[in-house]
Amino acid sequence: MAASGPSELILLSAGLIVAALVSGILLQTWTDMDDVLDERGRQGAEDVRTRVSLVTDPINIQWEDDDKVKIHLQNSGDTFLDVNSVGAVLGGTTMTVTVTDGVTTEWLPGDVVQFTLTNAALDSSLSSGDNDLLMTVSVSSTATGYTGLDTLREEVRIVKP
Amino acid sequence: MVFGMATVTMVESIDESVKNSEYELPEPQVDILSVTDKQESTGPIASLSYSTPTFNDAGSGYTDGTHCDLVSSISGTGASVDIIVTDGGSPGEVWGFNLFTLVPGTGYTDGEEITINCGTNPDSADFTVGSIHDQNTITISNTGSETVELSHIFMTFSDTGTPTQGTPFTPFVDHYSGTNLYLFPGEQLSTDAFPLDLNTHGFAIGDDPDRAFLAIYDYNDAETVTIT
Repeated sequence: MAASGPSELILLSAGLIVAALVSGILLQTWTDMDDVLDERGRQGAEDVRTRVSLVTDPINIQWEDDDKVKIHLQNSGDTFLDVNSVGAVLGGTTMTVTVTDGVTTEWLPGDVVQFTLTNAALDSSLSSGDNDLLMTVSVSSTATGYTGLDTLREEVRIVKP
Repeated sequence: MVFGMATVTMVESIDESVKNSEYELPEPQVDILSVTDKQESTGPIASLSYSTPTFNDAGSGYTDGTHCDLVSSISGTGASVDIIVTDGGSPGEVWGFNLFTLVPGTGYTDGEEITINCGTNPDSADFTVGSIHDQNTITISNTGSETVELSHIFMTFSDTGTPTQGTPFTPFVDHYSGTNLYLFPGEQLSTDAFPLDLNTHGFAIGDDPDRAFLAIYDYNDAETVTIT
């Protein structure tokens, strides 16, 4: 018994060291998972609160000056939206999006803002009269840290004079 | 104990994530019951008539080209017009008006006599209201299960014949004199009768758009305007 004392102590010490190392790794992993869940939760919350809706009557949107349409969008979410980060694709063509009045900077929940979607290249693809196209509009929130995103997909009828 | 605390923290994070995933934005449903465009008992002046001395008084002392108020003895307010004053005969007598300068006002009755008030010589001459403009009335109903803030309801008029689309407006902010702020489930509400305005609706007062489109968040409804 006396001869096995040191080896048992060594084994015990080794076991304690290994257990401590494993515990440390487990706790670190635990903390990482917690951080990821927390981050995903905040990002998801911002995404859920970000929403945009079309106010313009989609059956009758005028094609103006051979290069543009004007649409009204409502911030139908629960967070502020960024008027300068609106993207739009009309009939597969990427449009340049600007705030029509040129002065609106804040887009509060419930507010309606008019945007001008411009691309002269689309003109040749449109025929005179009705053109039924898919319009996709993406918006992002102005929240600090986590930016919410929403995409609006709507069939619209563009009327070319 | 350390493991226990870590577990509690992670469970709280999971719980928060579940709450976020269950969060839902409002999904109100508001339907248009009717949109009418018709002549009401009173309204903005569409045309004036002037027949002196049979029906109207020419007055005296008026100055040609003056923009004068048209004063109603019933309920009309806000109308005005440039008057034309004769040079011959009796100087200063009202001889007619320039219809292009007519500001229609509101609340006038078809056929009523309205006096011409230019400030210095009020009410000694008069015109007759020849006709009044049609006005629109919108009636909606909350068909969903959520209470709706009236200021979040937008409408847009269109003329499908031209075709022309007007400007979105908030009917229950711009044309509603009641005290309600919200539309509760099942509740119906009508606007006051209102004339079209180029700046507010994208159509002039005499236009007849035939389609009304309602937008409340992601929910839409459309209805043909009943023009009579």
